Amino acid sequence: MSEILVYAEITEKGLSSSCAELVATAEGISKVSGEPITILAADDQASSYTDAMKLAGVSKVVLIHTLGITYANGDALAPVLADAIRSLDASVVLVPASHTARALMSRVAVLLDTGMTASCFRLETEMVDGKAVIHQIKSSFGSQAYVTCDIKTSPNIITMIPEASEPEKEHGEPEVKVIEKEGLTSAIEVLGREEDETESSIMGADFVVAVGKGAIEGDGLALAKQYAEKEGAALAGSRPMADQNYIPFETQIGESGTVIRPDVCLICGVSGAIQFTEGIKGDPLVIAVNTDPKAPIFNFADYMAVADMDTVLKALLDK
Amino acid sequence: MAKKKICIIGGGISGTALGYNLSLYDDAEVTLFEKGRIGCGTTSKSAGTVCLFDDSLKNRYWDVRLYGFETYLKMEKEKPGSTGFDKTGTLVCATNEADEKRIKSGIALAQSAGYTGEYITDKDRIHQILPMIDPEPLLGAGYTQDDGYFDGTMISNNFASKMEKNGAKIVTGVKIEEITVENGTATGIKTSEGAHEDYDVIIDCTGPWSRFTGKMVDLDVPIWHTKAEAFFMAPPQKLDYVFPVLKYPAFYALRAGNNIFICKSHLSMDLDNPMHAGQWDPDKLPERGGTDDYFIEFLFDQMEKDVPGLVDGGLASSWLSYRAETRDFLPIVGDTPIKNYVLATGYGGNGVIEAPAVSRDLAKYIMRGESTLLLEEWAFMRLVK
Amino acid sequence: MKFAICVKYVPVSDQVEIDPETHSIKRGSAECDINPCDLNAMEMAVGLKKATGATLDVYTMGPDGATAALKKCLALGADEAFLLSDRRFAGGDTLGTAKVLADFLEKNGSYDVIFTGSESSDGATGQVGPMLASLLKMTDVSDAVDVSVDSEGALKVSRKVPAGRLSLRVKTPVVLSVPFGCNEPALPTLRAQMKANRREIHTFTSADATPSVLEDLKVKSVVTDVFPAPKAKKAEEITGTPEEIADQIAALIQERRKKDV
Repeated sequence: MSEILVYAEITEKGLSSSCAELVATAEGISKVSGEPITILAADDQASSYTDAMKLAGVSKVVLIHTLGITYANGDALAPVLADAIRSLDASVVLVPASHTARALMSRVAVLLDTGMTASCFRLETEMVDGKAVIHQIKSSFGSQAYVTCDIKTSPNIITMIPEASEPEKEHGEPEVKVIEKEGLTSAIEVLGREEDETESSIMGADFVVAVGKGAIEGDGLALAKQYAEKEGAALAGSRPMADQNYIPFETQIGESGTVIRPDVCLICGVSGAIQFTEGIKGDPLVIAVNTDPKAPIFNFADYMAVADMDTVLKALLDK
Repeated sequence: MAKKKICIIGGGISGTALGYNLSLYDDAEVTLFEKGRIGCGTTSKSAGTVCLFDDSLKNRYWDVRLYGFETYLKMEKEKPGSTGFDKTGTLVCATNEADEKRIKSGIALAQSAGYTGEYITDKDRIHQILPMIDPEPLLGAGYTQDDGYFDGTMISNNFASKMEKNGAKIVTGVKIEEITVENGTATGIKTSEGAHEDYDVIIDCTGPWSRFTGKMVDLDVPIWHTKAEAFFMAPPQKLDYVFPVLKYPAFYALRAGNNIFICKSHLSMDLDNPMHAGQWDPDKLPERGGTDDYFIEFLFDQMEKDVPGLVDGGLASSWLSYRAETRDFLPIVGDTPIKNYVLATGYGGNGVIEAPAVSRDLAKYIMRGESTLLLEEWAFMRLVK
Repeated sequence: MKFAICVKYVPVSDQVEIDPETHSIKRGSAECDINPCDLNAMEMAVGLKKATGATLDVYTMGPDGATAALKKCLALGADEAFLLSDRRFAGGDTLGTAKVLADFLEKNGSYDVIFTGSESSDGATGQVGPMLASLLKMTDVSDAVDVSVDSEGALKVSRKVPAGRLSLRVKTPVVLSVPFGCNEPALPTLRAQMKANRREIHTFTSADATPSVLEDLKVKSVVTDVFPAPKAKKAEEITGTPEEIADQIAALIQERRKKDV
């Protein structure tokens, strides 16, 4: 019988938190198709994560120990993964929609000559003529529309957007198979890694104060900076702010910048174009302050104040 | 006394200036409909230059120009920053003797109103004022430090809030879909929200949309669209001097942030050249871009000849807008063959300059029936002869 | 060395309306421009071209209008421009697009470095670059934010990864996908743009493609439905004086942060 594969991504940050979530998604498919679920991982350190992958609902874990080869060596890792997927007879491969995994799996799709969808957020599986068909739903056209895609070739390679919270997954006892791969060569040599201070701070912050064009006139930017410092929040901004060098590019929120997942987000003077709001994920408390009562940000926020950001921030600082 | 119910269609500089002037009459009940937001159509793409002696409007209409300029100066004084006034001054280049003559009379008129102005023939001095241009081919240049450019959108919003304070009503985000005409008289409108409303006077202030607005009353409004193709250029060196509004017969330029805004002048447009003019749909205009390749060639030729300092400047962005232009490049103001259907449109590139004086006169005409010389010269009938 | 860059001509606005009956898309504006991060790729390519004396060819697959994107690249420093335009190329999925591009890139000779933007602003799949590399048997580095050449002719590439950067030494040939915002793209000058507008664009159609590639363009993923995203929620309004607003905001934030502790 064919299998449902979950690709467990391993980077220097460890095993991707999306693994458990993709297993939950795989269970949704399995309920309809009856196929077993296999977790597949390939990394220099793959075997270190065996326990984390022993999840309920998973029948098998296949770990390929690729000596000296990591996700950064896409040219070497992709053929290994393609071979494994072929030999496991996968009908579908679920992949986290991270930039690193999507690049790797794009190479795998070429090697398997199969279709690949991007950044799906929901799957709906149905049996058609005794075969499971997975309808893959993703947002498109700047999130104003949802699109349903079917892949006509096997396996379906589907990248899934990670959700805000990691589902609790019980421990299980799947069969674990470790495959040793030695002698792999890559045209890429990793010389080192540099941590990115600013970006990790807005990415990891639980409270973010975001400013937009409304902060350019007056003292908005300085006040927002002071308030963020006072509250231990991270300061971020919209694209025009980064474009005009008011904030470092690393702290730009949005489709083309950094995607943040804070608990609380205070947004001041940002009109709220979709390109901006796409950069705020999860389910944070969003409070928006803007002088324009028709600003689109108010369709995104939980709470809105039609007010001048400078006076509101001053009042917040005086508290 | 029964109030006169007046409907203004369009919330750009034309509609808001007129709405404000009408709201000064206590027997006027004014409602303005804007399908988008105030001052966000063609007005938002206006360069907003109001210069004391350029060629945008003939010296014959000097009072119109001065009235517009001083209206905004007062508005700016009332609430600093509210008109976006940037007092850069203006350098008007004379390339032939006719230019020279016109500029010199313009300077005399400006001085008569108490402003400064001088005609410079010393090429070094011209170069000092604006190092980017090549002064050699010029006969001379008119220069004043007193004027500059305003922001049409900010001014429109100012007029809008002033008219609201006077009790007028502004409805945004609502489109007029039908105009009722009974026995040759306009009597009311139907909105995109489905509301039917009766009015004593309906005024078209829709600029480039006027052909479409006119169709609702079966009136052929004789305006053409000319393309206002504008480029924002990043100068090769950072600007460390005041860049005055620069006027050549074929184009004008002004500072916009760290960039230079350049646009082909409206009087250089040929209504019979399909590259310049036509009948288009202003709703289909993109927010950015949309300019023609020929314009790059035009711009290059002009810059190479006159402003060599910009030939190797970067093309930062561009946009296209439609001016509503009549055959004689003057607006259409006042009565039409449809009774109670009034026009205040066709300002072309000059809405910001002309709207204050026109609105002052038109409001008086609508409310008191008293015409003025200006209204007579800019009447609809001149164009149907 | 020989470089190429692949760019995409994309709609500027994503303001779309969906017909609730037919589920088809009504695009608000047909205005298109070069994909934003392609300009970052162009900036990086021109920089490396200057450092190495390489040639740089620009490719795009799209309608005739896409020549505007090519001309912009010519004005920015590309040497030759290639338009791949044919109805048979259109409507393909990412793999189909990559196959067409790979076919023509291969025909024009072996490139040492091929640049692409990290993702298009419309589709945003980020797949075409690495697919192209795999098809051309090249390695690839996605999210490459900086590149230089070392003394042995290998590339030193800085790759953006979550919360950091990898420093890589990469042997050519390689495909580099460049993300938005990693550098400041130059503007074409008026002089360069005018010259570029007069340049010839090499145009290819399906008649020029390898027949087996054309046969292989069968679409592997199909869109079966398009429907509008749920209407956005409306926020609850906070009113009052600035002090009152600040009080309410502070209370909301405090309450939420307490809950998360």
